[in-house]
Amino acid sequence: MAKGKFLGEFELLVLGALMRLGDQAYGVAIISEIEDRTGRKVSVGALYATLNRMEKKQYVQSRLGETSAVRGGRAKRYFAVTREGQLQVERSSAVLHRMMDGLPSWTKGAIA
Amino acid sequence: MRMSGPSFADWLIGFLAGPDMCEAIVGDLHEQAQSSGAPRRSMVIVTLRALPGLVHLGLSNISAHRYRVELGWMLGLLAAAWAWELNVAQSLAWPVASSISTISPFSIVITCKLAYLTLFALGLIVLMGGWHMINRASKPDWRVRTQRFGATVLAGLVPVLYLLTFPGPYDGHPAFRFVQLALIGLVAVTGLLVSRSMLQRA
Repeated sequence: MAKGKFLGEFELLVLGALMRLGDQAYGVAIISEIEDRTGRKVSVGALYATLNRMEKKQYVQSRLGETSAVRGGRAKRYFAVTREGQLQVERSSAVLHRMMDGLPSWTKGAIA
Repeated sequence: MRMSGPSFADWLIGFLAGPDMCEAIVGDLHEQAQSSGAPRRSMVIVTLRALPGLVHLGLSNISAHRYRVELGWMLGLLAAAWAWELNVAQSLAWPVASSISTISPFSIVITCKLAYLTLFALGLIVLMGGWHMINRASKPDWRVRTQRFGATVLAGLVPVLYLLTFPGPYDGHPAFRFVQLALIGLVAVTGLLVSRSMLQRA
């Protein structure tokens, strides 16, 4: 596999959040999902930079959604993982598991 | 359905980075600000409660009319500082960064943070400029000028305190806080040096 095909840690987190959220994956929901599950603070700028990059790589696709008062009348942009994106998640997860496999038991929690 | 018509900032954002992506980003920022507004509101309320006391502290023997004018001036500064930080610096950082990302030597995220800091610093500089302009127009004595300087610093300081306490949308890395502090300190010291003659007894 070429070096550029590997997903970064944050890319993997974002793709995981998109898969969990399904058709409700938009900016604020993605940030909440990652922060709730990882305890890691996510900025809007970092998220959209990553989504923009992965959309160019065709790992995700997006569509404009509805507006609401809480958003100042602005539309949501929903993101979804493409087939290519799913394959990348599977490959990266498999690589991660292969690297962790056989290590002492206390490291298992890191990828559980 | 759109709840309100596009503002000038909406138009500028659309012009700089394409309407679809920017509408989503600004909408997310707006939604985040709505959901995390409690601490921000608390800080504004605490500051508003402290303002009358601060005016009295600086100008204890002024007329009631002058007191109201100075209080209004301080409130105006405070509102302007918050409006700038929330509606301009935060909203425009991303579209500005994305429009210059091809010529920037940094990543889009760092470029975005630098754009935010630059806009934030511009706000502080505009506040200091406003202080100079009002002083030139009304020609008050040194005590009033000093009091207004205190108001200007306070108005600029409240969003800074908020930003240092609660992460903003572009505060990804802890080092960013130190850069932010250094930049704000630089603007404050420069403002003090430029304005020192106006703060001295005539």
